[in-house]
Amino acid sequence: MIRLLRWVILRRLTGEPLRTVWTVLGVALGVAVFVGIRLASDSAMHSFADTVDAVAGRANLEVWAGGDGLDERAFPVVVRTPGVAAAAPAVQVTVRAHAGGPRPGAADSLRARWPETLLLLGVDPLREAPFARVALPRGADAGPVTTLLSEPRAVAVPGALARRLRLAAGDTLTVLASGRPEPLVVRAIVESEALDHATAGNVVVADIATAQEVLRRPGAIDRIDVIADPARRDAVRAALQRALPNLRVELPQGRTRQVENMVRAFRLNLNALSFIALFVAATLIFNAVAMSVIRLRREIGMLRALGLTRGGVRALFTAEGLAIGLTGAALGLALGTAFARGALGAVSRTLSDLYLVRTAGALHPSPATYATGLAVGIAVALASALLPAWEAAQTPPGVTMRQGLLVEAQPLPVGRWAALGLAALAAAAGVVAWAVAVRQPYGGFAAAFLVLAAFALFAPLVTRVLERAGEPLVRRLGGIEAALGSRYLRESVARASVVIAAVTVAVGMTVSLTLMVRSFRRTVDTWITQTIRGDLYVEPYGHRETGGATALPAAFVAAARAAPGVRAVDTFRGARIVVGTGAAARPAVAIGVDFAVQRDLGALRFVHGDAAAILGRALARGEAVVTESFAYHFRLGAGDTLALDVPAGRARLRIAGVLYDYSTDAGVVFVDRAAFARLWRDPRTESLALYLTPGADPAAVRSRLLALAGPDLVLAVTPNRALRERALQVFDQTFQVTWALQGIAVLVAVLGVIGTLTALVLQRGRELAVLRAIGATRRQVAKMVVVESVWIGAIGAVLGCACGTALALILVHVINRQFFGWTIRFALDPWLFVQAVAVVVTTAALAGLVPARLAVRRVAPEAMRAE
Amino acid sequence: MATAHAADPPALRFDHVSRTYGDGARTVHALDDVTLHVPRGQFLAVVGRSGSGKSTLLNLAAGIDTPTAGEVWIAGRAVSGLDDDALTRLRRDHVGVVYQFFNLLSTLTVRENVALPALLGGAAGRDVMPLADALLDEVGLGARRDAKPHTLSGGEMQRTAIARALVHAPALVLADEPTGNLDSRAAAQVVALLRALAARRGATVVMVTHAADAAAEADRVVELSDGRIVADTPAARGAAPRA
Repeated sequence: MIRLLRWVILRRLTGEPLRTVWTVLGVALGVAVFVGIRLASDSAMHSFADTVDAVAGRANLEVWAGGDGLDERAFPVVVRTPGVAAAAPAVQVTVRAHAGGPRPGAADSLRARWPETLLLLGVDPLREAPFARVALPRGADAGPVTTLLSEPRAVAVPGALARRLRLAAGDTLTVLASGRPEPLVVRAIVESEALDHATAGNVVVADIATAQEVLRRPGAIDRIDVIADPARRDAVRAALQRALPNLRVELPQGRTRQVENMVRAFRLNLNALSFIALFVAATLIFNAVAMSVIRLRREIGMLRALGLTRGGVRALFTAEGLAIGLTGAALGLALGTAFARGALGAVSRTLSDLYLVRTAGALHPSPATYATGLAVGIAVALASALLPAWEAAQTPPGVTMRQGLLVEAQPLPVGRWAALGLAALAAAAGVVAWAVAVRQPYGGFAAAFLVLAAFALFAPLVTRVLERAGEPLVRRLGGIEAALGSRYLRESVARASVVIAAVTVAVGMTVSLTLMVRSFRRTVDTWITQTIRGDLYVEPYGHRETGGATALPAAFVAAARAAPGVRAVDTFRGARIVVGTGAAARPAVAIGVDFAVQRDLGALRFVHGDAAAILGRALARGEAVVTESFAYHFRLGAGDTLALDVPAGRARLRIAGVLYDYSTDAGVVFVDRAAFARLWRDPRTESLALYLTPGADPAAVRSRLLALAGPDLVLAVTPNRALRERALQVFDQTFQVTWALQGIAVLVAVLGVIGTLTALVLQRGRELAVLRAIGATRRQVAKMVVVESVWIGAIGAVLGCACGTALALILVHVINRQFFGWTIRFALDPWLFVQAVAVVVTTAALAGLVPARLAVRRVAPEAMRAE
Repeated sequence: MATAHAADPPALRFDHVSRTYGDGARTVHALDDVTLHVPRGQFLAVVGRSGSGKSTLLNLAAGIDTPTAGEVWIAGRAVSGLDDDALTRLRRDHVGVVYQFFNLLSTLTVRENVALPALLGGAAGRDVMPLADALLDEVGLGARRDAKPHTLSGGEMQRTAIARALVHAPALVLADEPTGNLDSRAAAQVVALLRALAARRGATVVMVTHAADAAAEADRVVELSDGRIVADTPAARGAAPRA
């Protein structure tokens, strides 16, 4: 058998390198897509967890508060708590930065002037040793470093950052804190694998006092890290919580888990995407390997005639499938890693824009993902090799050798398949009804997979019906050769259905996502246009990164209110909050805005009720309003009371109304700015929305504001329209990853059509040769193949459009609603269907040219003789 | 029966035709300086052992293969210099082929199989279908015209193939072992039918065969050996050739 393997399989694989490469590439691409999407998604979350671990060091508990940190006076309370072995305060804020000292520049080149985004980590050098967060260079003494960090404005940077920015001890690094350039002096280069790994080295470590001074947050810290006796950790945690009731005492991993809860929907979407990619990949692999085996049919027949048993045939092709699967899957892992590197940026950006979760762009190779990818590639390759090999082994040797009429003549139970499809569709409807009734979010995905399966099962029947109905027209338009191409499709419906089902799934996914995203975009666009009514939006540059640690100078806010042309000013202050307890806890956002300004000039849209009336009532009674996502996630509605732990104690806020908001699905609770200042003990302002007096020139007011800010305050002043565009830009960026699907769809159409038709052309070698011999020109034969591929594309596209519409309805009304709590107005776009059909049919026609070229060569005399 | 005129060019003419495969020491002379004129209306049998060059001769006669030396003339037209499309058109307009394994298209009905060469040539269905029906009646398959090929017996399939080879009224019909896959009774019927139908249309038949009975039905028998014509005899109907 080994010799046979070498003679039949190995020689063929090495003797026909192009064919082998094509087959292996089919497997590799399938595995790469699956592995790539999963790696990108997992890496983004790993990166976040690593950052948490790296900045927590050896801490096993942490004390923190929402909003702009906690009062450092809590620190002595922590230290005194029995069971606390060590404690260290930490300030942790993301800032924009550049190497070198402060440099003036044009306001419109802010991004270029501040190209770096760094994590400013303020630690107490004297308390750092037990936490092992910052390792020193080998042989260095801890003494000088701690002393250095105690110097004014001194910072230590990891070796990776120093090398990238070419920083040496004594160099200056300028960070932007609340819009103010703050020069820092690099005093030490530290080597910390954990920091390098977690944040790609984008960390600046400073003494906590330096960090507080630079950030203008005297007395405020973000966290207290605690090392408790592991055996008594829970008791210490309880004691700390009793001593500091308004703060949160959690395991460092708790924060990761909360973020995981929040981004669960996003990750699930990506994972669903990877499984669909896998489904599509399986069809690609099936085609590639099956095509390879079909080419061997004659040899199988001969070997059978010479005495090889059926089991022997199967063993032979198991070995071939294994070889192809293993090589292709291994290559797929490498390709998938490269794909993940490309996709990781988009995933990280989405997490940052949509969930304010900052992650580094480092790839975390996951052995589990690689193992799954490898197993899947090999398994599908094996199954793909065995099915046609089994079929060939079952066929009498003589018939197999002739490669003719009987091999493909097994009738396909199209009716039974279609009935199964109907059953799957009915099951999908049942699952949707159940998912909506019990608010079971995963039901939506189950329904989506059932819909995909249903339409894949419809493929044979639809192919047969459409082909029969369309053949007369095809014949009239394209002549006998076109009719023959059409008829060939009918005869090979079993094999063609596999690729049609794959095209259906790929087109269905693309159409559904496009419909969903367009509906969503239209909803968001309408919402932005209706709700963003301020004329100018003012924030310190870098606010997006610095978040709650940002504050505009009070004097500037007062000056802005009094500036000519300004009718009213809305102020904004936000704080991260955690709602719920234990494993169910998830972060949300609390925002203080001016309810009076919103009532009089704003245009918030509420799910029920009039905005002015709701805001007026909330203002008068000290109530809150919450976003649709918040209400959905925490199962709260107008009239309910929301209990929140805030720096001022436990707040009980009655919900006055639920408003539409698509800025984040984390959920937002809005309170009036005065209530926010009281509850969060924070009267400061992060950003402003300016309403101008009628006739005032926004450009002139902008110039006035920039003049008011002076050269030491870097401001971003954005007009209404630019803000709207930016919001939509963020939206588009968020869905960038899903467009990878479009690529997959095209790839499936191309590779599937090429693979299937090449296999069919090879199988029909004798018939094509006969056609050429009895007078069919090259063009006529090519036309037959292209007509068949156009049919495959057209049927796949039409089925895909129908499937996509059903999926889009599930995405919009079930999955989005259950996961994000958003109301999206579904908008059907017939033009999209036209585009999808045109693109897929054109792609299929072009892909059909490859097997068509092969087909026209089939006039070799031997093809017509004994086969 | 149509008669050949002396002024008419032969239906098939080989002038010093050679066909070699491979090169150097491994050169195989499949045909070696063969000269052969087949007048219109003649029923020629080509016999010889396996590897004698029969199939090469047939492929050259069909324009499927091209000679390495010499010239092949099909229906008065030289083959050399013709591109693939021109060769295809020449084959489509002037040549009909019958194979040992019938080579009917499984996707088409019997009637459609018969009509196919004419339809590929651009003839309208309304003109071709009555011709196909008439031919099927002639070969005794009028009642099976809507059947699929795989439901026919071997003899019926070969009769369908003969009808297909004649539907576009070719000057030359090439038959490659047309009885090789049939029992003796069916074989005799098929050869008789081929002869009768071709004669009725004035078509020339070149039949490659191993079967002595089939060759005995020919007007003339050419014997090939090692790529050369070693015998060219007008066969007395009913006499067995030497192959």
